[in-house]
Amino acid sequence: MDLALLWTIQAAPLLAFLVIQLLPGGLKKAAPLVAVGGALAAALSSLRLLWLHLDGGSLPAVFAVNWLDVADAPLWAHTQIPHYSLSVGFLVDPLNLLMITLVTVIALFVHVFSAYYMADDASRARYFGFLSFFAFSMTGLVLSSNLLQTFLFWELVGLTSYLLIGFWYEKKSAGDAARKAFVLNRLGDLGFYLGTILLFILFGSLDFVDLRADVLRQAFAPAVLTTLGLLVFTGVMGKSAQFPFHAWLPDAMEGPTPVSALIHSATMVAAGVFLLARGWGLFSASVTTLQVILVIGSLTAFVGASLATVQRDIKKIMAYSTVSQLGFMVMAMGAGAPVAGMFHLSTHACFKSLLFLTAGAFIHHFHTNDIWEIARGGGKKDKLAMAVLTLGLLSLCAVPPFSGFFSKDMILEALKEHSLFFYGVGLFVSFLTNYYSFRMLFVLLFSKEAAGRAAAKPHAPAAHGHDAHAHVAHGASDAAHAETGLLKFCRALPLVSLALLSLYVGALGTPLFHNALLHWLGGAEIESHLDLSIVAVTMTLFAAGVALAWFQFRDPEAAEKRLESSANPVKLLLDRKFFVDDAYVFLVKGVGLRLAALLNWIDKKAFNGILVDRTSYAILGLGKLGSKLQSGQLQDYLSLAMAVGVLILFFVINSGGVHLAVGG
Amino acid sequence: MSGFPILTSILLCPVVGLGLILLTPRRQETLIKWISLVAAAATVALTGWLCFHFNAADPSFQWVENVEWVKAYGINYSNAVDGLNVTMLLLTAIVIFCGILVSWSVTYRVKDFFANMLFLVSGVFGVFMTTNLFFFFLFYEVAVIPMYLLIVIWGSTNKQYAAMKLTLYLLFGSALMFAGFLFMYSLPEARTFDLLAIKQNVHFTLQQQNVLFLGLFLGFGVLAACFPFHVWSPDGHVAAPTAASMLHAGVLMKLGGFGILRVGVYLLPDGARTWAPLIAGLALCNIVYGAMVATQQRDLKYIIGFSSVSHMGIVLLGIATLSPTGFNGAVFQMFSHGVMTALFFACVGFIYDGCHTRMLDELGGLSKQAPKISAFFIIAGLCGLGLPGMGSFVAELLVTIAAVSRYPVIGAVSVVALLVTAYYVLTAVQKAFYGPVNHHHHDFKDIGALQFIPRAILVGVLIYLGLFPQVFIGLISASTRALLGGG
Amino acid sequence: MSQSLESYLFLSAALFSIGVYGLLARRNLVAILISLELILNSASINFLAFNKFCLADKAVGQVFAVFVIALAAAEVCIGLSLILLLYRKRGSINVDEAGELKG
Repeated sequence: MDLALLWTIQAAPLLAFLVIQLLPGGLKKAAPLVAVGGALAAALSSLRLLWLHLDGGSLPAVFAVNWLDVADAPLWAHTQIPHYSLSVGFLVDPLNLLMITLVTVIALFVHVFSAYYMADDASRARYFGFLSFFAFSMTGLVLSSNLLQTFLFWELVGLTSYLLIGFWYEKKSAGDAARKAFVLNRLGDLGFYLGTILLFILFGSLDFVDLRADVLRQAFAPAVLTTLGLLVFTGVMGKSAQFPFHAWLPDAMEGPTPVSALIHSATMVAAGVFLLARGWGLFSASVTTLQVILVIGSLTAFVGASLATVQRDIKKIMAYSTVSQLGFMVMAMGAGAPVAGMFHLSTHACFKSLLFLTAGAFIHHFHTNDIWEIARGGGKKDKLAMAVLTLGLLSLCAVPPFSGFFSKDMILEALKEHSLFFYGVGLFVSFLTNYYSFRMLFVLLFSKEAAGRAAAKPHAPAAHGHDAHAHVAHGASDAAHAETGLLKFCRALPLVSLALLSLYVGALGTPLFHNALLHWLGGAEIESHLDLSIVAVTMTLFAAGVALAWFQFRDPEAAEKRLESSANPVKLLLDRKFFVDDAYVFLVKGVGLRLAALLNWIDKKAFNGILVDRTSYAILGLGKLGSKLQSGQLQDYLSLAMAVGVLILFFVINSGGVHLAVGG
Repeated sequence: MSGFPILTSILLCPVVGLGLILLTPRRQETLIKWISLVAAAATVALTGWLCFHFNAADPSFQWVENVEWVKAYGINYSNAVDGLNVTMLLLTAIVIFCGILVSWSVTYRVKDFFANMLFLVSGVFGVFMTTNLFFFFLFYEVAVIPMYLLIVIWGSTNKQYAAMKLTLYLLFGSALMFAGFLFMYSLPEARTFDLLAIKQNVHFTLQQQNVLFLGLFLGFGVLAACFPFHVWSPDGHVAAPTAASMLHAGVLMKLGGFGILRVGVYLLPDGARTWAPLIAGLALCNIVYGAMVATQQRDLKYIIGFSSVSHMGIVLLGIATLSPTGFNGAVFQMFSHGVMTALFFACVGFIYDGCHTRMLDELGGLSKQAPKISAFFIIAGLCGLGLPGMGSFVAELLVTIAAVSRYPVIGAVSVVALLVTAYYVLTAVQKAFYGPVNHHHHDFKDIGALQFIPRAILVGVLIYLGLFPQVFIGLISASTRALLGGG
Repeated sequence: MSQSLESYLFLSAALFSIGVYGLLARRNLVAILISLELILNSASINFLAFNKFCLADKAVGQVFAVFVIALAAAEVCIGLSLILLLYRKRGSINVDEAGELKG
């Protein structure tokens, strides 16, 4: 039963992808239906699987088959658990049951929303094909039984992310962003790859069930464990957009908004955090590794939140917010609280995908990403979107009783126990979160609707717009928005469902439900005991953040003018995104490509020029010299030949080599 | 020789095809194409059958055929297969089959073109199946000459220069290799060119091994485009016509790696041990240097040419580890790179025919115009940058595992190439296939069904290799293990 | 009739020298060919003379002489046809004008 369900989860999206590829031209319209069908099958199967294992009795369960024989003897003399071969398979335990349910359910909603969002795009079939392929890779990643298999799917989700960021590839910026995302992820993955290979050589097994902290600590010196852990963590940094790898995530907003909701906020970018929990044995085996993870997470949380405070683009605000929240999750991991991290991952997945879909609803309607523009267009008149947006933002700001509150509270608790400094960082980031959330909300709420503006210029060239596809694709008129009932349903269902989930998922972690989720994930010892002192501090910070946002943005027009005119070092620093992008540009263009150009020059001049061409010219020259002997005159050759002949004869006779037998 | 001489039959397929083409009147172009296609299909069928019925568990030579030719000098016409060359035969058959299909659009001197192709491929088959060093050399020369003609007559871009450079390099390599063979022959215990007899009878001293292995490595290294003897390969690939590039980069370059394993490592294991660190260092240069230089190229074919240099480095690195894992990885890489690069050239050739340019700056937006060919190119590119699920990933994984366990630093540095490769492949994809459509080639048409087939076959092979690598590894691992085991 | 070997050798040497002179001095290809014939004939005389004075079996030298004559005939055939072709191509049989191999 389990295996059949697992296969359904894994294969249904792949099947949808293949079917969409094989659909003949006329039937391409059915692509959304096929993709939603695949996602639905996967979601139902994972819910069923979750239901079957709610008591957690027979877990963890492993179904693995041999994939590739690597060696028939240990590669390194002191290998610990020598398997010599790599396997592929499914591992089922509470951790990935939670994750797979989350992934497939959110994927389902995003598929449905996409049917609304992409309804008028000409390349819809390609979009849904890629989306299904993403669902396949992501479920594969979550269900993997070992580190290498995780890496396989890790790369595949990176590929789908690349393809979907660059979905509107006619735009140069989309292609650039896609390439940047892939290459930056690759940079992180190099570490992951090397770490995996080293672990395989040294330890002999990559199966998650074998990677236990106590076994690893017995087997290796702390330095080795730290190296291994940090190498694999580099991959996490790339995928989960940790500082300084975070630079790709905001650019990734070039993709269609539902893609941002699914891949670049809820699931794929969270895969790094998931991997931290999945390979917890490896990471927790070294204290140094955890310390580094904590530092990186804090930096990321801070950088993301501070950059989110200055964005105008609704998707960029959310992207930086995602970076910051991912930093939060990684902080939790670094503080030794993987359950808190996973809990926050779950709640964040719900409310952030909700927020992104809301953003998508705005962008689809107003054809701009700029919050001021949306507000002027009359964004607040969209009651449903505004309601769920507020709900999502409250959850993001960790206001009780929304889901974010419970998870963030748990993380802060863990940080407080770990070290006061990082607790302080966490609180400061929470403050920034409150500030930028309400900044956005206030701008949307309090802007005066520019009268007639929306009607006069419904499709104003969106200066800040990234989803300007509507213009490219079909130069839509308002008729395109005469939405049918089905499309309205496709828009409303995901928003409402995710809003409900944002409410409900957090409650799973409260004493009300006997900490159901946490017990299940972490065993009996984990308790969520609301620390009232933390709640008091966060509520104060919430009030402060809202107040500051209110103070600055109750009049959005004035604030906009003020922002444009102001210039100070902090603003410069934030505008230049802490110079991280500039550093990458320098590394790639200034160092990497220069080196490549030098090598290319060497190849042209030294190898091709001197070694090959010069040598051949030298030989040609020698030939020319020799050919001077050839006068082209027959008689010259003859006389030369004769002279040589006579000389030879002379020497032969003189040396007495020949005795002519004359006389008989 | 037991029963049906299947190896000779494989060799005879292109030879008979060649004979028939020579007998066919010049005007009957369709007939000529069909003859070549049938001959190629027959080799695919026969090599496929061979792989299927090949006893993978047995490391020794199978389907041995032996006919005395010049007895006094130990020159026998002898063929045999083990895991190593059975896969190479299959690779050759697949590539020639797809190459012939891709060449369906050739219009200039059709008869000569296909005759040369079949002549070339007979030589390649011969090299892979023979176990006699004299025939090894002979068949190799048979393969080089038609390559020269193919480039000079049907090539493009500075073709005379490239063809001469390629031919001189390949002949230089084969001269070194033949000198090595003659040296072995001259040893008093040997007096034969038979590989197995030499392995059995001759006990090389360490010094002999060192000298001989170095010579053979240099000879084969030139064929495998080992740094710094790689310069012929990008130029040659660029100038050659599509199908010749496919065969050349896909198969002919693999002769170098195959030769090092089959002759160098098999006969001279101690020499290999002496020089392995040098090979590893050169291989690292290949891998990183090739990838770095590829980032600077503006011509799609040059990018692929340098990526071949980079990928052949992985083969050499696998060989340099002198471990079964590394050998498996090297052979795997030879196969998957052969298929991948054939796919690359098949795509670029089509684009060049349609757009009359290969320069990145003059292309653009091809994905919009021709989604199918673009998808094929992107798939090949993804395979090139080592995406899991494709053949190259498995090869790189095996080689990296072996390399890191033997030369940790070199192994770790070689991984950097994955990043650089990702950069240049994606840059090429973005410039040529993404962005707005370039009006220079507004009338470019996507591939039709006939041209779809060969590329689809190559993609299928790549994905199959990536998903089920154990099938392939199972075929070769007994033989690669025996290479060093003295078997 | 002189009976000494030297007299034969003198004759042959004279013939040979005349041939060499013609070979080197003449520019007309037909003349060069004729000079070549003189050299060949001097060789034939040498064969016969040495055979007569140094060997018991008198047939050997004559076999060689006949062989040389046959060879000369074949050579003239080829040489003349080459000259003919050259004449057709260039309208001249002056060797100085055929200088393609000049380096």
